[in-house]
Amino acid sequence: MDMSKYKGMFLAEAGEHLNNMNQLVLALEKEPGKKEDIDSLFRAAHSIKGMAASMGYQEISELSHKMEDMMDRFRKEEMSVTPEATDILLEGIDALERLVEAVEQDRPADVDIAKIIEKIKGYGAQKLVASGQTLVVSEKPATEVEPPATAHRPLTTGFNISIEISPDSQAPSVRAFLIIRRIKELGDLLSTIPSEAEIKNGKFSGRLSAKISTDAAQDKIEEAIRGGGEVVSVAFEPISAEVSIAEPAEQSKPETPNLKAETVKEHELPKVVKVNTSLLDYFVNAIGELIINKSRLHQVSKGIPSKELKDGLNQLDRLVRDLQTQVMSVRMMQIESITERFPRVIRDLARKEGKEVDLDIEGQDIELDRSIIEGLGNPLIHLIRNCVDHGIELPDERRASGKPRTARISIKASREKDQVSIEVSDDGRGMDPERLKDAAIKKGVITQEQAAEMDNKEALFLTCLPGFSTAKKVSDVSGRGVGMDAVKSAVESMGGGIDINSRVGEGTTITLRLPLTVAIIQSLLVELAPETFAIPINRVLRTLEVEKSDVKMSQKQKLIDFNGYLIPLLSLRKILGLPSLPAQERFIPVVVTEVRGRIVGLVVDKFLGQQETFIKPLGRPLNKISGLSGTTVLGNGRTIFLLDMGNLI
Amino acid sequence: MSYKILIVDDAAFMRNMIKDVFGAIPGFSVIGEASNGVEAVEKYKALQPDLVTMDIVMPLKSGIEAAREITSAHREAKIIMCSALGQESLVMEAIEAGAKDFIVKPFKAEKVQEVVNRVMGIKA
Repeated sequence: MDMSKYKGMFLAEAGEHLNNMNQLVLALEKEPGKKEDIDSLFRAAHSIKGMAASMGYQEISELSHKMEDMMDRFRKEEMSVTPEATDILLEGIDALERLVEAVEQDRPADVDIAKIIEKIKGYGAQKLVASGQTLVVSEKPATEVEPPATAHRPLTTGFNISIEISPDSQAPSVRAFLIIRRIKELGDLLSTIPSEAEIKNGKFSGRLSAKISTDAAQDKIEEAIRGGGEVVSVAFEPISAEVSIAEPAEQSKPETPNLKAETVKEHELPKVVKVNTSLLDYFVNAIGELIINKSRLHQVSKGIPSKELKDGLNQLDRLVRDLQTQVMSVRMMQIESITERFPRVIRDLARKEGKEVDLDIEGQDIELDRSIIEGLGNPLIHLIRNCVDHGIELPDERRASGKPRTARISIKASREKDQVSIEVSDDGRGMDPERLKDAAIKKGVITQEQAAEMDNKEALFLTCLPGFSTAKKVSDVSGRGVGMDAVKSAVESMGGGIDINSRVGEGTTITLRLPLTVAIIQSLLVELAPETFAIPINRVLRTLEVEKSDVKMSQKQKLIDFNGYLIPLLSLRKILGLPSLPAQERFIPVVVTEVRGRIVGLVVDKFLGQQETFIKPLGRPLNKISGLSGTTVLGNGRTIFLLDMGNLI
Repeated sequence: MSYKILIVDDAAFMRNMIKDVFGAIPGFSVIGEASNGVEAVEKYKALQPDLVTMDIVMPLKSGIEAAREITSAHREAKIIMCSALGQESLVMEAIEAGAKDFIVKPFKAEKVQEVVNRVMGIKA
């Protein structure tokens, strides 16, 4: 049988189980005797083992099997969960993760599972000796005889189940019959081999396969089957939606003419199907093109006085918007999908550094487009790594300064209109702007004069300069600085922004602000004749028309009043290197935005309005130009650039 | 507290044997016996046993009929069919009629124990 089509499913599911296991082990570390956690761990290892075995991934199945045995003995309280045990389990989980990754990338894994298995065995032996038991392998763990089993997943609509009846059954056919009855209680039995009629006539050799359409969980079904008695092995193969659709003939074809009518009735197709994510990307592209075409039609229709045309176009607007909303909602993923591995990351980092850290995560259910979720994983890891490595002090140092020994890192996600903000904060030593400046001068990143003009905020943002953050020694001084440039550019390439706040001795908070989606966004179009540019609307704080007389001057810097604060007024023309225009109107159009935590006003020629834009990334070499982050096509067919606000200045 | 068992078999020899088998299992006590299907149904109502062992071929009313009557009135009834080799199709019929499991004569003590545990939901 071709198993390759199950690979994706295996990877996804194994990944879920491993994540889950990670969390469970961490929970177990805090509360070693918790039975539900041990049970869940056991089941997760069991599921991975079964899936890997059916896929033929020997090493994964072997290692997970050994881990399952270990859990089984915790379950039976033959051994207790010690820190040593959780370390071994985590090591096992890591190894499984690497093995799964190797499967994903179709390459051989460089994991020495023998070593870990040795450790598991060693732990077991040690515990047996400790509890005064002999080292004779007492009893074959119940799981030993279990065959490959594929775990249940929500999208599964049924299973092909292979059941082996014990050869020493006195009446195997009756046993099979009994088991079939039990299966029927849990779903629609589509077919069996041999058929029920054959079994009734005593045609049964000990192996039964049954195809069942059900939404019952696999372990439920397995329990029911095993409850039928004399079952040596049960193996599940999920029938997913694709499979069900692909094999309609097989399902509707009765295996024998004697088959009961109900077993051949057409079974209802599932309401949920799985689709490849590349298809979702395709949808977004297609909708993007639709939007461009739609605005082209609007443009053309301007010269045509037809009510029908206008009505049609308005209808089209609605339809495209609906379609877009639906497709985008399918693409949304919860932040949890990346934060769930953080407790483990922090635990490992903290252990390595000899620090004590608690992690708080809030707003894990907030959703972002999958492309942003994908791009957010590494930046967030960078940030929490910085917290542990540099921000947080050693326990003794913390106590000496009157803080609790255990530091706190908190990740707080919240939704603000069409943006999501993610705050990563620690209660560590914080960053000292003066020392940051000194370090930057030493590194030659800025001059003495530049440093003198910098305010504290700007000094904090020095950590985001490439030359600064790669400077190794800086981390000792600043308590920050590893990979901040990478974080910033990753966030900005997704159309987001970053803010840094820190107080010496109290801690640091880094805030990432991200759009909900990337590809299709609302933009403000501005004219800088003869060019037009798009500015992501979520980066626009306000648009103003400032009277010339309201512009103030301070040390050659133009300033305007914004909500009671004086903010610098900069010419977008100058920033983009466009020739300046001589004559200006009485009112100056200004876009108020935030650049590196500072609010500034950008002067443009004219506002052209807000529009839905489909952003395409820049190809090489245009992507090297700082200040531009993509292009979009206007209704008139003209291609314009999207401004990368974070990197303009 | 022990589980109450009703033994149904037309042969006293078999009833005794079954009693002996259950006598060896801790936690079970035989509270009644019936020698045909009609008696089985009456005794079930009167005694409300936790478990019934039911012979198949019996006078007046077969074990299959008795099992059907009992389970249609008491869905939760736990009936184990006692059959001989060669009675497979009859056992299947009994299972369709509502029997929960079966044992095959000649009884092996460990098989009986296994079936009883399973039906009663006792973890071995």
